[in-house]
Amino acid sequence: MTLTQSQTQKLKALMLASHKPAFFVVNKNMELLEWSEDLELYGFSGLTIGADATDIFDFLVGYDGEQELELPIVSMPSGVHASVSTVVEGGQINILILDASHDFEQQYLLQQKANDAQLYNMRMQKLMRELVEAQKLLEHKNQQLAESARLQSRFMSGVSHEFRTPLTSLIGFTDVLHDKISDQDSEEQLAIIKGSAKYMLSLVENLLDHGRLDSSGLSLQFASVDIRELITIIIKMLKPLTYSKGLQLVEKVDVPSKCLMIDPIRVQQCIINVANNAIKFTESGQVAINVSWQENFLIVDVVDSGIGMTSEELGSLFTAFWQSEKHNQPGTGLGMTITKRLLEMMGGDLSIDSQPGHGTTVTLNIPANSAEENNVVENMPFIQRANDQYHILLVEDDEDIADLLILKLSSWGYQVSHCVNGHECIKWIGPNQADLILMDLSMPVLNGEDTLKYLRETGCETPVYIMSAKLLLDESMMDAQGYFLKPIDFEQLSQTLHEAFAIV
Amino acid sequence: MPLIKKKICMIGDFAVGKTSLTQQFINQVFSEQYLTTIGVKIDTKTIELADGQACKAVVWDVAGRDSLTPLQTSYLMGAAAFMLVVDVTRRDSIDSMKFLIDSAIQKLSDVPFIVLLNKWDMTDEIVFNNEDQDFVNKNRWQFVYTSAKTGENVESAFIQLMESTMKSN
Repeated sequence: MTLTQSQTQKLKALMLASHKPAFFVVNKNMELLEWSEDLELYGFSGLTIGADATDIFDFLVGYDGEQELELPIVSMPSGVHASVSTVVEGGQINILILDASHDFEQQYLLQQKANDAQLYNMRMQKLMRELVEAQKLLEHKNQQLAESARLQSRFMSGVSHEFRTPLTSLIGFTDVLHDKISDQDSEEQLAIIKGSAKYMLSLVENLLDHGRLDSSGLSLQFASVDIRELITIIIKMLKPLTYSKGLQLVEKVDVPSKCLMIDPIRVQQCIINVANNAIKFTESGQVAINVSWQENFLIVDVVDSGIGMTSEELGSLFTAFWQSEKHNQPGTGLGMTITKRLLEMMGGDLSIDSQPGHGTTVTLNIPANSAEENNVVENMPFIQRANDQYHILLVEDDEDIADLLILKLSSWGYQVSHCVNGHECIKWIGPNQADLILMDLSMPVLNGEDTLKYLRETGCETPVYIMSAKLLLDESMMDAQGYFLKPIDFEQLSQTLHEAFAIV
Repeated sequence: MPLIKKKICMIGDFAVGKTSLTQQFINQVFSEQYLTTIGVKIDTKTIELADGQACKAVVWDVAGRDSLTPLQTSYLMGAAAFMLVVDVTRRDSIDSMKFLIDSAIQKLSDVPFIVLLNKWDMTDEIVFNNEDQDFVNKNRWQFVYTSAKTGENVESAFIQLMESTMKSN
């Protein structure tokens, strides 16, 4: 196809309009020979024949004039983007400049978006890598923390054990001494010793509970409980504290169902922790414990007329080891933390309403289903035989505790034999007969757990009660009839022995 | 005596700082904003070399290599030297060093060049490691740690390269 003259002219006009062509000619020495006026569009003016073209046109620096030059887009001095191409002919170099603004704009938009997207993508990948690294670091730290918590828990458990054993002797022997003394002064001093020992024990218990809660080593033991009786016990425990401060302690129990399914030890611990605080921070007036039951929740309000708390104090109340700086009161700062966590374990919660100078109300919401009353373990009938007809084998390696228990059991009229470890116990059991074995868990040579296992495997059916300073009893203890936590509560021991022998 | 003019090409992957280094060298300015270069932008600066001789550096800030654009070697024709700019915070930029140097040498044969290890000020994000350093040393490449942002080593790198071009004449 051949274009007509008018078509050719029209195309030329269009090209001229869109590409604004300009040119100049140089010789091999890069001396300027001639040029078109349109060069001014690209920022080149004041040109003279014979001038060094490399001084004017930077893109010619380094160009040898031998090969043809093709520069698709060059930013010109005027700011216009243009293409530069050369034609080498007859010892002269013709340089053509065409406006490439359109190409530039198109490429720029595309390129900028593509590069931005790629940079964004690279940043994202980098962040992802950093995130993965951070996650790995976090996992490692968590493992370290878990290990640290495990070691801490083991340490606490160990320390607690070491504390409990001498405390057993201390509290036990104060009881023994109490039976032997008659003057009031000594009685009072003994009461102080016992009170201090019990206080120290409660601190140890708190530390131990906190450690167990941290390491998930604490489990709940639900039982059908007469709630009125439980509250009565709690009130009895709190009375001396309120009495010594001249406070009134009042309780109101409005529970339609007599028996509820709860963990009695932990519920008692929660109520006592909160009530202890109430008493601690109340100087006059009263502390009231109001108990009600709604929609399978036991609701315990502990209301005091004490000094109350600021919002800052309320915010820190559940922080472990926190104690208000304003009030110099003894304690570990763990009571409320443990209470909250125990309640959460039970599926309950706790709320506080307090204002400085206007007292505090702490409400415990404890899940508690109604239980069958006939499942409640009642006090056993009075013992059927005299105590001296029962023979108890005590297996205990700690000399002090053994002496104390022998003294106590004998004073109740029981016959007592003593072995210092599991091996001796097994040897003793062969030719002898005991009605009940009271056995320590941690002993040298053969421990309580292995001894019990051996006794059961060899057909020995004698009831065994385990004693331990640790609460970490597992399934292997299922063969035992029960256990006592050291320091031994002699009232509980006496009661349990009565019950045991009633069943025997 | 006419002023000696030397064409120096800045090459490297996109967004490694070629334009920023050029602007720092020519105008002593720096901008955090990233604007892609299309084609080439040419700037000049007259500098004084160690022997007191004045020399005009004609710096070709060539569009970076990226997913859409290969290294545009047509812009390299007649270059007296080149600078390979590497972003020390980007692994892809470090890994492409050898390829880009080989591509430039193929076009320019035996011209001096220098590797600018740029963004050295971003200390927390540097991924250029001992292994990379060993690789540069093993290849006997001239290199300089630079920061277009602070201007660290920028002018000296250009002067060093210009000196090399004068020696290679």
